[in-house]
Amino acid sequence: MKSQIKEIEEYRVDKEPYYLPTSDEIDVFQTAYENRLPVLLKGPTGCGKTRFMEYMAWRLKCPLVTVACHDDLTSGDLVGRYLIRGNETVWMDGPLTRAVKVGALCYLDEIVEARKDTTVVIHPLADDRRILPVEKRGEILEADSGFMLIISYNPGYQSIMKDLKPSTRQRFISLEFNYPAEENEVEIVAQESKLDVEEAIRLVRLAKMTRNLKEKGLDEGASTRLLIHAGKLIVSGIDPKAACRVAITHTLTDDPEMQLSMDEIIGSLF
Amino acid sequence: MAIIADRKYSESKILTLFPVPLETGSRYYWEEDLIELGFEEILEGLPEETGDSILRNAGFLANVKPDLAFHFLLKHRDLLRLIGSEEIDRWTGVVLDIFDSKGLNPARDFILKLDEHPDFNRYWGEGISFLEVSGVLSNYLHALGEGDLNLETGPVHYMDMLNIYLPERISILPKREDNFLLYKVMVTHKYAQVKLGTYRLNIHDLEGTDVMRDPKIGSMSESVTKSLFQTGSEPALSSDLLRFLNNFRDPQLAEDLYVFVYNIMIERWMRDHLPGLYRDMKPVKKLLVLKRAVSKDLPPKSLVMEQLTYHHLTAKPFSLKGPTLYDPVKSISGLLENGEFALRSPEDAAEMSAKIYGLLEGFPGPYHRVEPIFYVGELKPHEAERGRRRRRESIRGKFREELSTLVQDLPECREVKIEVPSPEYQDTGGKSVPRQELPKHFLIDGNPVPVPQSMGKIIEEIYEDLGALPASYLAVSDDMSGHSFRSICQTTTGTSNILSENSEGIHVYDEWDYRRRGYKKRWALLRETEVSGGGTAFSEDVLIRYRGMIQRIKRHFERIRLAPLLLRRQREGDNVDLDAAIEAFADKRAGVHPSERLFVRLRRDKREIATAFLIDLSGSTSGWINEMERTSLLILCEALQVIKDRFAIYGFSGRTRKRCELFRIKGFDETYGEIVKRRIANLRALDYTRLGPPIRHLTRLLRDTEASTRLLITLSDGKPDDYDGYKGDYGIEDTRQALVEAKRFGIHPFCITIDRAEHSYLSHMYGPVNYAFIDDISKLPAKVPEIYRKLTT
Repeated sequence: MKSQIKEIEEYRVDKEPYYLPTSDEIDVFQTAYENRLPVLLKGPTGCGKTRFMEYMAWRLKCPLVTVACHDDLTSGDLVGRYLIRGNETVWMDGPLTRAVKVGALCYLDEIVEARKDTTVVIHPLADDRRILPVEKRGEILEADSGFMLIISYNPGYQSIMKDLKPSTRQRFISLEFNYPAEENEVEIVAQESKLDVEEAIRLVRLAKMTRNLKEKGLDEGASTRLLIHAGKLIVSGIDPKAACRVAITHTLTDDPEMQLSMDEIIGSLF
Repeated sequence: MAIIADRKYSESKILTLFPVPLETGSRYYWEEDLIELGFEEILEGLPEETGDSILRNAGFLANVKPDLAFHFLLKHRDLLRLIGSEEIDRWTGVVLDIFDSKGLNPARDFILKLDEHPDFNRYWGEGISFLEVSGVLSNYLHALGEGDLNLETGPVHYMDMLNIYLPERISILPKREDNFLLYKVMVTHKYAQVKLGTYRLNIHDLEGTDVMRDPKIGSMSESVTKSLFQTGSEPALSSDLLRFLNNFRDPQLAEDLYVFVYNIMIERWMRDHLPGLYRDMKPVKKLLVLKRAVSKDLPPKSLVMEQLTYHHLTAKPFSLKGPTLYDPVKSISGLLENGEFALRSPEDAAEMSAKIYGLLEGFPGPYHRVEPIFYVGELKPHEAERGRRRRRESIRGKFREELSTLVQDLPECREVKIEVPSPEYQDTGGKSVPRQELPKHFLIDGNPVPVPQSMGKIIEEIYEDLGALPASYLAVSDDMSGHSFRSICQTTTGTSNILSENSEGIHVYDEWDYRRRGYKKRWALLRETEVSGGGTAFSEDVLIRYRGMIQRIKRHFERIRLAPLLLRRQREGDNVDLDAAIEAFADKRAGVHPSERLFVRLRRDKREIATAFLIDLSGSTSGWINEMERTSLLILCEALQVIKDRFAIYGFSGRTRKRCELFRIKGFDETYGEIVKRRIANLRALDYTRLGPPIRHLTRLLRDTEASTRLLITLSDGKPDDYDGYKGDYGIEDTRQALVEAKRFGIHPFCITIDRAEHSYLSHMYGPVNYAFIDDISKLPAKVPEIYRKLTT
């Protein structure tokens, strides 16, 4: 794929991404956008939150700025910093500032991974002020009317050390995502991996069975994303059982007994 | 261990396993007696590793009952010849399981009888044992979607809507993997019986079918036919399936035909939904034919059944000669394989089996039962109906519990009306209504409220059973708002006051009474005492026995310690934070006051986490559970030394509200060392489980502990339960309230449970993501540190 270097403001989704709605999330998001409300996307990993964002960016014809949060993320990484170019110091806007200025959708993925002192930077943007203080510049930026803040979060995470503060949570409306209904998930897997429908049905059945094991040995069941991975391997000629083992079993668990159990589940389906 | 006399041979590792004297039930053995029996050299000649294993396992048994260790050492050579040294650990586990469940004499018996003991072959016979594969089968069954069916062993293979009974061992086929496949097929088959409704025949749905229209086909007389639809005509029978089968002249033949036809339906379902298993079954089915015990003199009806079974298992044509039997068998097979006759419901299967019965009716002679297909087993309608009713009640209870959680925030429960958008189940005089679409939302006072995810599977099961939600399930009762349980708890006042409120060291706590929605003031008395120390042998044993596991866990904990070690953007530190420095330089050039946080620092501080572990020492945790609890605590303490989190360990037990006891095993300010190890070694199961007071006490302790994160982790084997009525709803609600109080103070409660019974109450007490269930007690030592690590990173 030819790499392209784009200014963030130019990052628009030109081609319609494939997205199959599960409920009324498109309408709700669109309404939130029109009312300038920030949105929290909640759901297990790999169930379509990021793809939904790409779809909405395409649909709303907005640039999409995505930041993958981690615990080394600082407020400077989000807002911006001075850099030295030759003999000059140049201010470089961070992704959040750029999104605010141009009126983009700014999507902070897995917000709980970031430190809480970084997360609070978004608070003034997420309430009715819609401002971003840039302290180093002594500026207060008002968000463009097209700007929207979206964060994502996986509520199933068991650690008490990583949780969303109530003061952050209560600034957002929440859209709950889950794995798609079976027939939809089959369509998604078949479409994304180019697998035939019969095999896609088996993969989705496998996922459903692993999800029945959540909290009975597995932290999470197989996500749609993992099914797509397995599907792509199968399409490329890997034996289905082997594909499921590497893409699903060994990703989900290290426990030998659970791995054996999953082998039996896979063996029942393929 | 009680030592009455002085020990003379304190250097001997073998002799120090036993008290002086050792009592074995038949006599006393002094040290000299043991020496005379050869105990000092009893391990001589064994390879070092084997000898260590024998000594270690003897130590394990001696900690529980020295008598057992004594007999084990006498028998160990024979045992090694039978099972090999690699199986000794597992064998010791079996002894302890038998001791826990049945007592000393059966455990001793197991040791003395070796391979002549009936239980020995369950584990070390030919083929494959259920115990070896129960974990995998259980996971597989959960994955299929049946979390509520348990796997048990029994002499007959069947399912009763609560349990699937499997053989203790399968060795019918030569290859181990084929025997395992049989287990898997049996589990799948019984799951499919539930899913496809084998026991849910509705007799009124047969009205108007060929079965009923032409009595000759079903061989039922008109009077009998009429009686089927009269309620109360056969009060002894409790299910439609039983009533259907018992109206044939030969109910056994009717039953076997129903099972046979249903099996075809199930195998078609397996072909469509589990094609891998269906494919793998085919060669095994053919092998099963070779194992069938077929009598040469079968009467005609039985011969036909056997031939149908043969044809089904092998897909081969029949071997019968002559038209008298060949034609009916061919007709029957034609019927079954005819794609036009759908087999989708119990009624379809009933209709088909009645048709086949009609074809066989003309043959002379009785029907002698043929051997059931191995993986199909038996049909037990009585047991299934009993199980179905118990299960229905259990599902109803779960539904009501979830519903009350949904309405608990509503102010006036009397005025709440809950409906489903589709019509409710109504009694139609026996005619079943077609199953309705599952509701996606409730109407609460007319407002749509989405059905919570936790209720989805419960509602699905109700619909499968009843076709819709009965109105009674949706009725909101007075005591539902704010509480989940309606059963009445008998409480008695406390028995003899053992603790006095005015005594020193006694703490007084309120107790929540959910029925009056208020506290009983100064209701429970709690005393905190220190556990006296035991010997060092237990901790030494554990640290040796589990050294591999301890090393692995320590490595995991090391990563926690190492990972967040580098603190960036500090005011002082060991090195310059390059990113921060560049940023500061740029800021300065730009005329902005630069940050002073330009250094990285190695974290030498503690993790700012304080955890109180609360260990259940009730009587139910005796034996093997107590052993594993103590082992887990030791391993956890070893692991926590790596990361230096602040922690305290308390055990709790008690008897009535006036005698709640909290045993300090390690306080927050104590260091982990020999004293704590000895206390852990000395922990023993005591009385009852009154959870509220110890939780409140530890909440107070944690509040006074400086830490940014404070955890309260409970390790328990069951529900709250005390002598004076602190059980059921009352106990659960008070425990829940105590945990709510803890959360208000910023304490995070979590529960690790090994409650083998149904444990959905934990979600209500601790919250849906704040507990973990460990299904196998032997996994406790590994799981407890792992859960702690996940919680705190």
